[in-house]
Amino acid sequence: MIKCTDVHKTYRTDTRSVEALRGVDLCVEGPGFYGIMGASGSGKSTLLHLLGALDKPDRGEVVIDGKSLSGLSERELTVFRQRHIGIVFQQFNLIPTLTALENVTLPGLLAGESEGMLRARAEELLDRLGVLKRASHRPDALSGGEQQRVAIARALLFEPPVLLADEPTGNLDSASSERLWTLLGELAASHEMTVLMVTHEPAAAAHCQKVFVLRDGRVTGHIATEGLDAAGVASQYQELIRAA
Amino acid sequence: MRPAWRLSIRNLSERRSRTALLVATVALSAALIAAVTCAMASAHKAIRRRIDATVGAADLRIAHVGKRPFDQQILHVAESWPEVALAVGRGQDAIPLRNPRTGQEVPTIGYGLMLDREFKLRPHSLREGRTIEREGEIALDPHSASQLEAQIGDRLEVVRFGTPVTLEVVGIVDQAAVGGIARAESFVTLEQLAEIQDVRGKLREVDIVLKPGADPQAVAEAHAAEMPRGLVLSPTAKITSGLDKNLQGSQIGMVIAATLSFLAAAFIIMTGLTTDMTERQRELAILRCIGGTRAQLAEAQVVAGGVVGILGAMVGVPLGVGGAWVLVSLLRDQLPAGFAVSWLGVALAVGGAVLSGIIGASWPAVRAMRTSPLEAMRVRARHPRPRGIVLCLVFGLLGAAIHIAIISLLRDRTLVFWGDIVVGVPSMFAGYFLLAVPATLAVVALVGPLIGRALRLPGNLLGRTVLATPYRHGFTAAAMMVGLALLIAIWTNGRSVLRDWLQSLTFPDAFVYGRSMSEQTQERIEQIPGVRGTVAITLQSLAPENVFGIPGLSRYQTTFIAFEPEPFFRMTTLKWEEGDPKTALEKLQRGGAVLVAKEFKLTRGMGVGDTIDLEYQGQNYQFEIVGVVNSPGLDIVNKFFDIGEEYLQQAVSAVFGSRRDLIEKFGNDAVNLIQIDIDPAADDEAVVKAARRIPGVITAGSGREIKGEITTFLGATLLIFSVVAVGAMLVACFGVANLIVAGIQQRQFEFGVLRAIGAQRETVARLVLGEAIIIAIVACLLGTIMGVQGSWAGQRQYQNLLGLDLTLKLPWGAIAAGWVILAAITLAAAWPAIWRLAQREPRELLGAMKG
Repeated sequence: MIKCTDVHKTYRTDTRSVEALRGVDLCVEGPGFYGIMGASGSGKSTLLHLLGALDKPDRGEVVIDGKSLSGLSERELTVFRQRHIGIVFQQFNLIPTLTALENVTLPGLLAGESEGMLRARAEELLDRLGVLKRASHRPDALSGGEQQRVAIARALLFEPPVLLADEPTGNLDSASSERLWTLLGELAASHEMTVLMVTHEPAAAAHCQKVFVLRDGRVTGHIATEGLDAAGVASQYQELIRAA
Repeated sequence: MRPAWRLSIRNLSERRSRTALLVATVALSAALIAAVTCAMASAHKAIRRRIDATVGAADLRIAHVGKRPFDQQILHVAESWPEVALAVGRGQDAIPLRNPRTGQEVPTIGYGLMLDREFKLRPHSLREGRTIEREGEIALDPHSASQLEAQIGDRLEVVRFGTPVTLEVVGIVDQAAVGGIARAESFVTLEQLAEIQDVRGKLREVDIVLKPGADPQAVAEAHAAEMPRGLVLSPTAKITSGLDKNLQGSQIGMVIAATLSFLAAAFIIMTGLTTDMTERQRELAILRCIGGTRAQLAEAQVVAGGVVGILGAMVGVPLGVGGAWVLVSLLRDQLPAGFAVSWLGVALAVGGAVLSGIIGASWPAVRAMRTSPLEAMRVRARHPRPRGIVLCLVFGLLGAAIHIAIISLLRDRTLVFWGDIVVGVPSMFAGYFLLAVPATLAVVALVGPLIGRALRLPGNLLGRTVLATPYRHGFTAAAMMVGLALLIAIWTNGRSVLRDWLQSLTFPDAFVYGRSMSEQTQERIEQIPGVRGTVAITLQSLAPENVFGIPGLSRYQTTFIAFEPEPFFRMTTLKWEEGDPKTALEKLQRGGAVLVAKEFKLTRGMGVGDTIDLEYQGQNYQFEIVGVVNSPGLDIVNKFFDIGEEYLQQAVSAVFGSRRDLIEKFGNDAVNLIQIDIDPAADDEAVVKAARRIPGVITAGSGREIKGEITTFLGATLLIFSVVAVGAMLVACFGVANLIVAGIQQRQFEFGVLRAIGAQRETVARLVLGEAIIIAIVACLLGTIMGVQGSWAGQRQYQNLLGLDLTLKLPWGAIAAGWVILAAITLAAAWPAIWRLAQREPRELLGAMKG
């Protein structure tokens, strides 16, 4: 479960301050494939960073899998992130100097696990995601889609209850993107996992079972996407935005 | 402003901290060069002032070949010459002084002045009080004043037998020491000196000022025949020519040091700008897409390098000059002539700084020119190609091999010397820089996993990180290695000189030194209890034909050490490389024969039966070599006692002959040293102390004491040169800092991903620390190897130029200290960036990719 209560976050630079989140209330109750949709500058990535324990809110509370992140120290947050949250970014997910297999085992090595066991698990994940044959290749030898699959495999190493994806198909072609969205949906179902994807694309949101709409740092509503295609999602999104 | 310039300046100002690091690298190099050259110029100014104080405005000088006093009548002879405007005589002898107020006692070299003329020729610069005006007064130099704890108004006693003489201190004269070893000096009237020594009507030198238009050389030649035997009339320009040769030699050394220093800075700049350019590949690609030409991109890089160089010079040169000024101000006693700017040094510093920036930017400029828009727009990491690494290995080994070949295969010593300086050393330098790249790969392969485990880093992350950018890491390590190599070479050769040359000299028991000693002095010494025998020694500087040094650059003299052969052989332990004592003794007593020091054999292959030509005053004298021996160090002892004159003449090595030859051929019957043979049961110190009190003796010392003092002096010199080596490491540490900062900036998102997937702050910090450790290890290894190669070459040069036979023994203590210093500097340079990285939040690191 993911829950945000009145979450505020402001960024300050030398010349100005930007209030990225202005009281976000969000509740994702059970496993499934969910989306957060909003225009550029709406606060999507900021919200994802808070959910991923990469940052702390100025005000409000974030609860992941029953654990409030507010009371955790920086070290505890790191460990929590390692075990309970998988994160996939838009690009440059992988360490460029390591092979695909080494990238997948990396979180385990950081946690001090044995290399042998990690290797077996990593190979299993890569196989499941269809990129085992590329295990010994470095990221520069992989296509964009393959890189994202390897990133997902790494995120699944500890079988986290939550998988966060920040515009994972931003650099992919439409066919690869389709495949990736389908994969994320399948993972949510098969692993009983909460997959939360940040996107600005209606086509991506259409694969989610529910989409939260973010505007100007607040959740303005949600879209139940069952039976909707991309155009339908887009239309409902526009209505929510107009009404907000 | 041209677009390329605008681009360049914008890029530099956007990355202020990294630009500052590059500027600091160049600035520190420039500061070092400026500081050292200005300090050397100040030292030369002090020496030149000292020489001017000795020579003054004189055009000619009359002196005895053996520095003995001569009849005052010569002054009147000189005054009678039509070309002469002024002739000034001076006496010189030992004046041992005692200060009753403090109880301190000091032997001084006393100068007897003709008051009506002296100050016209040589105005005295005073630190305190006034010049002497009458008998009964004395002026001291700062060294003797300090040792006596004397003040103006003190009444000093002359330590002598006979009627006591008391002198009032009226002034302290500003007088520079020469070569860092000060000799206590004092000034009295000529008549007072005569009274003290009980010897009247004698002078040690007559200095002559000519009328305007008179040519000193022509006048000297015209009146040479009027000089009695043993007296020499020579232009004073010859006295200063030795100093000029010294200056020339040290300037060449400075140019070489500056070149190497700025080459290192150029490599650091190249690494920094290349890193910067790699980071900005997409930006460069966009520029190409929108119409930027290859030439403009290249020009932007070169301008960036030039700007870094200019800024470095603007900061570094004033810093260096200012630093030297502070140093000279603190060492006022040793450098009383004050601060002098070396304009050559400043020009070297400025020119070198700008050139290092431009040269350093040349490779990034080539890379920028080759930027393909399509290739650069792809988001991929590029891994170094094996071909580049192999080329670095091949050319690196070639560079090192060229240096070795020049030293070991060439025979002509002039070719070896210049070949080494112009081709060999730069080749070695460039070679080791290139070798640093494959060396980095090797170190990563061998110890990378160990270091990774020690730092608790996952898998092969550290090794892979370094392997992704081996050139960056390699060249940065290479910049660090230079200082260590310098340190090792300095200590290896310095210790070799001390061990193989100085320690091998078997000094006799004791010596006395004076300016007007005679057989009478000898007799008095022999009456001291514990003295078994004495030998009078005369030393004369001569020039052997083309034996030592480099033609056109330096011409080293050699010392003719003359003695009575039979007592000398009896009292002295000579080690015979060739020849035998019995035959040699017979031939020496007959005359026309010499023994040579083994350096002659080493440089020119001279041995028993060969003839050696010795030049003096334009005439050649031939001697048969009847033995090759290990020197008993008499020339060293003389240098030690008479450092001022020896500094000008630059005598190396010695030949040994009879006093009869010296008197007959050169007219020199002076006694400069008296060697003392002490009974083993007697107390050395007591004998030496008693010898110091004998009239005419300026100072005395045991062989052991003298060797000890020289060893201490050379040891201190080694330490001073070591500071230069550590300075080179400090320059390079800016390169390390720049590499670390650039690497962190380039991989910010990567570090963010690591933090996102569970790496703690200290894990990413340890990863970067591991890179710094790899750099330090490569620098230590290569620096040691280059230092050993440099030491070996240095020893071959010592052999070629000076005939010194040194053995290569590595100074493990200095090497260990160098490794520790290098590692500490490297880690200290990396630490601020590592600490800042550890403080950054994951979100901040991940945000680096936005825009």
